[in-house]
Amino acid sequence: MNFATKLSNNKFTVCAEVNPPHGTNTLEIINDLKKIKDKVDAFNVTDNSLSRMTMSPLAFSKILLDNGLEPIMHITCRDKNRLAMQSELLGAYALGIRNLLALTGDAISVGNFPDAKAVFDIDSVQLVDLISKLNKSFDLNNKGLSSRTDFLIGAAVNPNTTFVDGQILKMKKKREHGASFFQTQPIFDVDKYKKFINKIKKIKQLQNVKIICGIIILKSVKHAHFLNKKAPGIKIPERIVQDLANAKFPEKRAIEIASNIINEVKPISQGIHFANIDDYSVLAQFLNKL
Amino acid sequence: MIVTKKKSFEEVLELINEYNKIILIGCGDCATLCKTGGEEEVLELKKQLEDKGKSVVYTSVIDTACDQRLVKLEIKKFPKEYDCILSLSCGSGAQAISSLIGKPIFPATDTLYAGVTKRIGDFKKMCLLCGRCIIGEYAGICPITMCSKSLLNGPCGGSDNGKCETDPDKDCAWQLIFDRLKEQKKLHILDSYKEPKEWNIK
Repeated sequence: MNFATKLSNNKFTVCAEVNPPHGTNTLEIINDLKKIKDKVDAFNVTDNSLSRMTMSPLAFSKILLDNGLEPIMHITCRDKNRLAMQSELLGAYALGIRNLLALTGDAISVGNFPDAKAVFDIDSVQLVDLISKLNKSFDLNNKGLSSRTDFLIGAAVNPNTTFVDGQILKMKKKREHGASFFQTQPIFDVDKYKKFINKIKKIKQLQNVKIICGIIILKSVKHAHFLNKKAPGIKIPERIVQDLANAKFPEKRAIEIASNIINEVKPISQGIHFANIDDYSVLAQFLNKL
Repeated sequence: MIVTKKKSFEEVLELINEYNKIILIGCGDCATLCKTGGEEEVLELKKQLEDKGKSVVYTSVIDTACDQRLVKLEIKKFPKEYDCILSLSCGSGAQAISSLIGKPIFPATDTLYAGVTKRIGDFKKMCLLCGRCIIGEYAGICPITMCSKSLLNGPCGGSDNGKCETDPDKDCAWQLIFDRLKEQKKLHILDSYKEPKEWNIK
């Protein structure tokens, strides 16, 4: 059963993030992904995540498909204007890519090419709308296409921010313009996540919206500090950092922390999404026990 | 006001490396307010260049360097012999001059944005001169300029405690827009979908 079917049948889904290589050889990463293939419904292929340059997510998604792995291709507004977006999306569909995650993209300044020109010609809501148009066989100028796309459109939402009302405003627009599922930023504060889910349940336009909860298996206290400092939208509460710091075996404790979070979010989410994966073997062992 | 920043003297020197007889042109408007191209800065640059053995053959501060009517009058006063012009105005001013004469011209400033003067030398970036102005839909706060990602339909996930993910000292434009519209009881303005922006308005 593919990702879209599973999602529409309300089955619990598991996604795992993968950064394309900073080079041309994909063998090693593909071998890593194959370790978890049977436990994962789809792989999120990032688009220059944290504004750090890697192989094109379109090319890498195609390589995943060729290896029997289902991709969710990320597409951000940071590096492409509306022309490039549309041509890339038509190409992606023609190559067999069916799932997208439409994102704003991290700011240029956080990455390794801070002098690059940030594009942001359109925003993520307009990107969702653009993909919906392509799905209806129109381009952004409402001109008919010779053949249409049929993408499953995903979008992102961040329950961790203090500006939740702003997130909900945008989420409603994304939903209205064609997003069928949402992936969240990695969650560490479960109470906050629960409050967020309760809040959106009361909003008419967001009824039955499918939420896939972001999860990170931490590696160390250093990893937690790095994410808190460098990864926009991620907040690891001090009590979790302390918990790891006090643990005799931090890596083991991190797995327990992730398991506890998953157990709590599972009943109120349509899936989980493993982000910032450091070691696919660790994730493979984890998924086997899940 | 067009906000400019002085290029380093080393960069300026590198630009005019092969030339000797130089004209310096400042601007009495924005560049004077920015302290990048007024009387004082023109004289300072003159001295620095002369210390390096360059010959500054003429200096002037045009009232408004981007006004070609004034530039034309000024050009008539230029000495017959000179190698190049160094402009201490913004890019517009420099090109107002370059489009009227065939001699080489080089900028001594970098042009940053259209800004608001808070105090002398303290400017805030508020306008990117992007064409169709949309601030009426955003409580008078420009999301194109003030939001790091120029977002039109709502904040990104990096906004936290009112600050932007790119800089803990930078206000999140969307939080400002949201708060002000809430105060004005006009939050509903944000509910409608905003189409992609027309960047090339004629």
